[in-house]
Amino acid sequence: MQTIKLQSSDNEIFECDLAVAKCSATIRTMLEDLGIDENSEDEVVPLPNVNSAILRKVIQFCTYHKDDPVPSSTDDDENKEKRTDDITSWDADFLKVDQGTLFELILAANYLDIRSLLDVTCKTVANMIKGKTPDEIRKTFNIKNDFTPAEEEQVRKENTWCEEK
Amino acid sequence: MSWINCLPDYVMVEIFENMTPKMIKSCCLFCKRWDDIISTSKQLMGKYRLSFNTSFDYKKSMHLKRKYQDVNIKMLFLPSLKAIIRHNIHTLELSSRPILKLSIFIQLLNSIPLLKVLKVDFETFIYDIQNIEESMKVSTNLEEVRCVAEICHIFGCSTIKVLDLFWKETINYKGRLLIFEYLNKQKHLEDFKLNEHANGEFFRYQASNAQMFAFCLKIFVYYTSRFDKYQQLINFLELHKNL
Repeated sequence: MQTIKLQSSDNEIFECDLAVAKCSATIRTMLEDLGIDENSEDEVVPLPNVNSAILRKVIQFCTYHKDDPVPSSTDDDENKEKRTDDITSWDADFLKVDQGTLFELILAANYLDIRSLLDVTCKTVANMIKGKTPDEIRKTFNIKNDFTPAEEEQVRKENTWCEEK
Repeated sequence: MSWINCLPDYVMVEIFENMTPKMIKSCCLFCKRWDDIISTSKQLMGKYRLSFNTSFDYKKSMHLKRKYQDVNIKMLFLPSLKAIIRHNIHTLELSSRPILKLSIFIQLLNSIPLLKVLKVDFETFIYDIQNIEESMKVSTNLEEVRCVAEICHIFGCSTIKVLDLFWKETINYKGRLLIFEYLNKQKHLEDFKLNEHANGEFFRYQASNAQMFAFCLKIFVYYTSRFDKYQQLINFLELHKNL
């Protein structure tokens, strides 16, 4: 089994399966386009935007999902409502983390371009918003309501013009 | 610290995409940043369309009608312009009876820069068709238009691909000629429909190009099968034998 070394922002080296690392489109591009030699023993891929705690989680996720079929790009029908109740129990358990870790995972998934991880983390956040009142959500995510009452009324009014398709 | 607001805008869009339009709408109210992200995202706003049909219930439209008769429609219409500009609307359907003045109608269309599809129902009556000034033109690049034929020339002759016209039987000869001249200038037309009030009228006019000729012929063949107008069809073909 071919392996590759990944270096986190805090300089920890992770040795992982090449197939696992290639779940990340960013790493794939680095290897293919930038000519990093896959066979070289001491080649290390630096990932300055991901710390070791998060990188460990990402590798765990990719290791579990490395044999998943690649989702076909044909069913990206715009009108199709995205499902958010199809998170597998392994993924749900994997994402039982504190909010800081969850959002760092989103940022890492985004930076490393790991579609499946970005999808499932975004769904998890959408689910956290679902069924909550605006006040609960502001409290959950620590969002400050920066509208003046007049501005808030304006947005409310404008939105009544929008109908769902 | 708000973790969620550390995410870049396009990742926020990914999160909102997992929600129903109703939820997205309520997310606009949480903070200015969310409202901005949602209002400027074409992806998300594509889930909406503005529909006057459902926005005005019967009672409201009656109110609108009364109001128009004694005050003027500007007061009722203009507040909504801002809402439309904000919400990058692509499709506008007018299917109630808003009783528009044409100048306000044009102003409305020009305030929606991303508008691509406009559908005005036959019942949506526009009063002042006769008073169209030369300067009144729609500057939005529409691709699909369904409207009353009498006002089609306000759309210019730039980008329309699908044109679906209907007209009132009261239109005079000169009016018909103007409409035909307009159609002849359309360069990008891919599909053209004419409702049956027009019944075979186009026999009298000369098509400027092969495509226009083909559209007319299609309509004529349809009508000749219903109204015994073979002689007019033959005259029309004679007129275009050099095309």
